[in-house]
Amino acid sequence: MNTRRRFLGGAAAAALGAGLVSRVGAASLPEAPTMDKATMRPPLAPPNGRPYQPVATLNGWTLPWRMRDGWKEFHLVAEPVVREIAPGMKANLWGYNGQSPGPTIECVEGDKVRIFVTNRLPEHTTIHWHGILLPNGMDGVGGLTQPQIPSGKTFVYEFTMRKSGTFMYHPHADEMVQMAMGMHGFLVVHPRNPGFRRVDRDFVFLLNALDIEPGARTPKVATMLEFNLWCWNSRVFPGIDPLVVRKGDRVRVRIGNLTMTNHPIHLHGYEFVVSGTDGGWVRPEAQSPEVTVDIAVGQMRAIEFVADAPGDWAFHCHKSHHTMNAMGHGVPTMIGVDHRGIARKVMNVIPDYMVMGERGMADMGEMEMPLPDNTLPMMTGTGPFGPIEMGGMFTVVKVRDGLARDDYADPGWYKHPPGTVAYEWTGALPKLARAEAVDRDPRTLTVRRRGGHSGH
Amino acid sequence: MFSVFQIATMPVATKITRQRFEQAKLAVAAEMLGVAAETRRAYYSAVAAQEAIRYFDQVKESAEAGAELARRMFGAGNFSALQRAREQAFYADAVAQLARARQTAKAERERLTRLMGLWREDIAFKLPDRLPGLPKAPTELRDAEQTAMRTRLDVQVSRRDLGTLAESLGLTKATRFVNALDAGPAQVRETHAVLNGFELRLEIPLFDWGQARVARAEALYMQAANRTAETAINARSEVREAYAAYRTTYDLARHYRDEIVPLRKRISEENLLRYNGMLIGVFELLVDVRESVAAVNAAIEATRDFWLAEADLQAAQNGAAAGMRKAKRAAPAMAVGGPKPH
Repeated sequence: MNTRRRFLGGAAAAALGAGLVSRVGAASLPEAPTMDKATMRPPLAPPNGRPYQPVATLNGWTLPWRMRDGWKEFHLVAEPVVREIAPGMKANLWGYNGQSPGPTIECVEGDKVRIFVTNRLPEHTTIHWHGILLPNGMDGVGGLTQPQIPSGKTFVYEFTMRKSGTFMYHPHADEMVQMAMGMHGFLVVHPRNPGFRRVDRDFVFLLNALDIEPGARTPKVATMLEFNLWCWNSRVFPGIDPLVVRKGDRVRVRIGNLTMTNHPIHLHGYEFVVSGTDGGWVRPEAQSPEVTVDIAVGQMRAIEFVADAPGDWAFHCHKSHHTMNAMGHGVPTMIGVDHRGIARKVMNVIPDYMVMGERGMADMGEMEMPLPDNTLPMMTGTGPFGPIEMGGMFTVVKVRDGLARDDYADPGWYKHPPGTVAYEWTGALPKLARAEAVDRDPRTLTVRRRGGHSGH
Repeated sequence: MFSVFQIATMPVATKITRQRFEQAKLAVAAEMLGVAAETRRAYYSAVAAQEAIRYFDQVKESAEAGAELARRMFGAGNFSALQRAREQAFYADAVAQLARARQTAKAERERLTRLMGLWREDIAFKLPDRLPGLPKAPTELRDAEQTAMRTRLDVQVSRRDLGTLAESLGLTKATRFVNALDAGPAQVRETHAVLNGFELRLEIPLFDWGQARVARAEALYMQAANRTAETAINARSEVREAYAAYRTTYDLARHYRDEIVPLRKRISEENLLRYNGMLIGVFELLVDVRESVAAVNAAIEATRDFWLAEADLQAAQNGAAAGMRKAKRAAPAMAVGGPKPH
């Protein structure tokens, strides 16, 4: 049996260790496109092969392929990347083809897929095709089902997509470190029949978590649970793309969880059904109406709804600390503590000191204060009515009338019909019985604002 | 300095008392220089001790703010009794430290007052707010030693005695001059070539022994010349010792000024940014203040130590070291600084 063939390929002139692949049909490596932006690319309509309805990857893109002798050939390059987490913060991550997460791979049930993986990391890696039914030797578990791909080498994975559904890919070599550094990507297998469970808009994103010391740029790879950046596709609010939807569209959102904890993902304004799980499609009679779907570690879920209610609908993880950016866990609660006279004492020794948290932490969302370099505010973002006071796993589903079929551009803030926004009662108020109001010193109560609001 | 030298070289009254008189006037002159040197030391210590009060006052103030805030947080139900007690303990410690720093400053000031011999309204003298800054560059060892050869009391006296002796022996015509520091004049007689290449000079004359033709005169003179060389060599050693301390304290004080204090300042700035981002709380900021203050205080102590070493070097250069050792015995123990804050 011919088990080992070596040849030189393409521009990268990488030596292929093709020992695991008995038949390599390629005479050269397919191109490995790279991406330098962290904004969503429009869905990639398939230029060849079986037709399907392409997905939209939040803050991401779909990897182009080439057809060769009946095989769909993709080329992933595992490499160090710099990813913008949100405007104002960039991180040194590991990813694929220029970004973390890697590009979404889309193919169709029945496709023969050949994926070249070039390792430009300083250490070995593999790729595991999470959820895909494939030959054992293509499963990508370093040491168990294949030798790890050494630094500088290219390996080839070949298998046939036996069923449609929602999947992920990620390393299975030095796995904790490589995933903590941002290595993962989405894998969508479309049904052979493009009419099967067809939707108008199909969004995909991964949940991933990073722990980056405020003021630093590289994740701490030994963090187990106390991550401080809860990301969708290595982005946090206000850096996460809105999900722009045309009113009346049937919408699917596919979510995969590669963090180390579960995430109850909650959509405002709609009931949805969970139409897909790790194992495939949920039969209609088994689907139940939900407003929150809890996604466990390593799970994928597809939810579907008909976008019949226009508006700006919040869409977020319901763990409230996951809709925050980096914050200190040792910060004492200052609510209800009278600061009269104290601020001046502190300012004698720390001239730039200002009181925060006396009334709660909302000050934080309102103020633009100097922070450590490369650090996002704990809670931030500004909406049409004021500070949104969010971070992390939060974005907005923007449902609008009259959008073009392929229009994913941010339409701006929702214009509410008159009389449909909560309003202040201006009539007479009953005398409120409450504990004695503290007479506060305006000098210590007023928070000094510094700098203007920069637009983001 | 000049008048002190005059005391040391006062004319001899009688031949009988000559020996004891010589000793006494040398001791007086050295002690005068010693008192002057000790006064310089007391001055730097007093200024430093007073400067330290300001910083311990800041520590106290930060601890006071923390304790008061903790008291109110306890009242609002946000702090436990333990958390409150911890902040109170910081404050209590800070108060004790400040009291100790004040006492040290008072003691140092009184010592200076005594050394300057002040009383009545003169004791209200005002000290500067802070120690003088470090010189741009430290003195070089070579300069320090050369200054010592030129100005040091014992060396000058020894040299003058040698001249007097030569005169009394009727030696008038110097044939050449040798450097007493080379290897001692006894050897110089044989090896003239050694003279080249030495940077330090203490020149003494050698004479044409043909004039005197008395073996005893030559022996007497060479004995005195060798004694001068010994004095000079010992003086050099003392200067080197003082210089080593001077140089070390200079480098240390500069390290505090150029590295440690700016780093502490940077840390404080970064901590404030972290506070702004609610990454740390106000109590951590207050702890940071105390750490910064400790660094600034250590920098003051390092600068003070430099000026003390500088005074010692001057003493070694003018021969006051012996007198100063005596004055030091009478002085109170130095206790500037006190224990480090938390």
